[in-house]
Amino acid sequence: MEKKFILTAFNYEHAKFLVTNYHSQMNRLVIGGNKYSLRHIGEFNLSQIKKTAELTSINNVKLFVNVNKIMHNRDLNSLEFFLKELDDNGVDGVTFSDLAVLSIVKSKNLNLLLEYITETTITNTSFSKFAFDNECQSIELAKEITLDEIHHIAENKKSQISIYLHGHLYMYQSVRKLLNNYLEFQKKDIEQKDYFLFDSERKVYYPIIENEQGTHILSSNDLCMVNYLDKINIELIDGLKIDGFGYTESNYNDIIATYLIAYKLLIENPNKYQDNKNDFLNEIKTNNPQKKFSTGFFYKETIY
Amino acid sequence: MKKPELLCPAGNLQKLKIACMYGADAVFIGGIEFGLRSNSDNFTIQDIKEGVEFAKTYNADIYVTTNIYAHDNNYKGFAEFVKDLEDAGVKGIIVSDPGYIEICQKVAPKIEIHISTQQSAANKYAVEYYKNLGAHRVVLARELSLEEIKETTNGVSVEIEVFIHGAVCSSYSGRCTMSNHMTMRDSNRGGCSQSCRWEYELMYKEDDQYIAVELDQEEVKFNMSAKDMNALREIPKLIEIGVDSLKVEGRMKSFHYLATVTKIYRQAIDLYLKDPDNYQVNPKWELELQKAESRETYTGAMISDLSKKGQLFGNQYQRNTHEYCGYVLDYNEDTKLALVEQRNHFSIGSSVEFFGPENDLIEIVIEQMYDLDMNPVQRVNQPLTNVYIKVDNKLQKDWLMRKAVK
Repeated sequence: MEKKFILTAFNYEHAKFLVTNYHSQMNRLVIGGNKYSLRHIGEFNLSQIKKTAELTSINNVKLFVNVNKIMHNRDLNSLEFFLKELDDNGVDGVTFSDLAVLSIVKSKNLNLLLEYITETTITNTSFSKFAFDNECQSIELAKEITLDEIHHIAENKKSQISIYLHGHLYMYQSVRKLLNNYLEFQKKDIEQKDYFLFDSERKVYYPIIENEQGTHILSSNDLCMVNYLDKINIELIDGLKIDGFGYTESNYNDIIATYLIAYKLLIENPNKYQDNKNDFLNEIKTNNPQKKFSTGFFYKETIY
Repeated sequence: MKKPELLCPAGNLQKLKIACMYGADAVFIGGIEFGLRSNSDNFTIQDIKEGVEFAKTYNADIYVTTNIYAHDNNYKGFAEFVKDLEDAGVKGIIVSDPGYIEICQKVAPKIEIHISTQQSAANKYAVEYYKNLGAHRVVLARELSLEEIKETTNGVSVEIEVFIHGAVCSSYSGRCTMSNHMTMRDSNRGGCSQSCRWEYELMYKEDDQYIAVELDQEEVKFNMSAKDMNALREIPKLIEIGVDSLKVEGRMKSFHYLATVTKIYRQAIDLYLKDPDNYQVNPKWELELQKAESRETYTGAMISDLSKKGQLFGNQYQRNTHEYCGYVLDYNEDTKLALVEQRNHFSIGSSVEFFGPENDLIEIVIEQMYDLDMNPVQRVNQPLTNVYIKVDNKLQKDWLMRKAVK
């Protein structure tokens, strides 16, 4: 079975758990935990990155580090240093959105694979050609396109294609500290709380997070495609990402387990997958009662 | 000292002409497809040709926005479109999609590639990378401070454009899909429903319950809405840095806005270039800009201030202090009658101001007004009605008339 899954790790111990248990289905492990990564789920210092790289290497899993924020000039020198360190410490690749990363990796001849991920803008086949022309191995498609569009891109791809299969749906990022600005205006202090924006017209709650990178707002639903795996032309897709952001480590592990069982069943016994697919969804729903799930834009055509 | 281009927006052919007349060095417009702003009027190819010809008489360049992030079904007709733009004499396209860039380079190589702010280029390496991809110009992300603009401009060998005035996204451009999620309208294909300008209640979760945050001012809800950009005071620094193009936002904005903003920045740029040592911001310029603005303005990121001062909490939709009410079609020096086309009601006794591209304001109270048969008129309520207004000061064709909003 081809290794397709892209998983994210909370910390070294978690990385070890994932790699040990799932290396046969895991294409890639992605870690954040540095000042250039957005919405990461755990901290990884350099020695932990190095240990993780050793672990992934012997288990034939690729290790990618997220350096996916939009870079400013003040970031460039330290970014270059950091990328060199990643290269020196056995990291296989980086996921990036800012062309500064591409520029440094190429101009310094770093031996790092490149995956281009902007989350919202990689919406068509030309990005795959762009990736190929610019020596990036892979792109992760935007979450705002339909499954038909995903298939069309995958049929015409020039690079590897990853899709986001499960996890939070990011929809807004600002450098402005909006929570702090608003609470200051309201003469309140920001507290260690889980904040939400209530949309009274749609009666939904959007998680809002503020950190050193600014403000992030997420959709009220998480993407969950566990019961639609049979609809995806998996042959054409190189990477299937299950993201842990917004979950506890144990809930995330359960979700991964469900997907891997579902996927294996789909490959080995498609009829049985059909019979069980709603059970997979229900399992995830039951284990995560605080979350709402949807199929995102896979079956929703936007207007403009 | 390099003279920067003053680049202004136009939503239709008439506005393009106004922008040229009031001092724009270049005007950006949108075609029927491929550009963000589905709700703007937008130009047919015939309009674009006419616009380019008109702009030539003012030595102004025309750029066309094709800055959507396409889906695979948004390529149909693009090659023909950019070929037509090239034939029409359009100087450049403002673009973010790599597929569009490649097509343009292939079929319309004379057209310059300007990387849209939708790419949120925020550092010198990224800007240089776009140059190597064939970009002639990069529009910088609107999150940069003057210091960052300086480092970036000095560090690269490609033209740099920055926004100086108008509405801004509070998110990184291209990285906001709230509109998609909330209304199914694709923000990156021109469908943005401006969800950042809506009101939300700030809540927190405790023991699985959503609880409203206690507020000092209950009536002021949360939003993401940023004040509009206003960099009038930073013009000297931007010129000293050597920024190539200074851009005013607003293809959907009114004649009045366009004429006023273009005129003021034209004056500021010219005055600084002429006599930098004695240059001062004229307080009248700021008053003029206020007359046309529909939201409060702030300099924001450019002066490294992204605090609450730049947010529009509460008073989002401040009305402009003045409104556009007439367009001067002709002026007769002998009779001292101005022929004015009505754009908003006025009457005998209304205090109005006339202004053109270069003059100071002419303020009058309307005392005599006639229809085309020279019958006295008391008030003009019907849009596009032509009337004669007695004005003792000399006016010129294409000047605008406005009045204070009560």
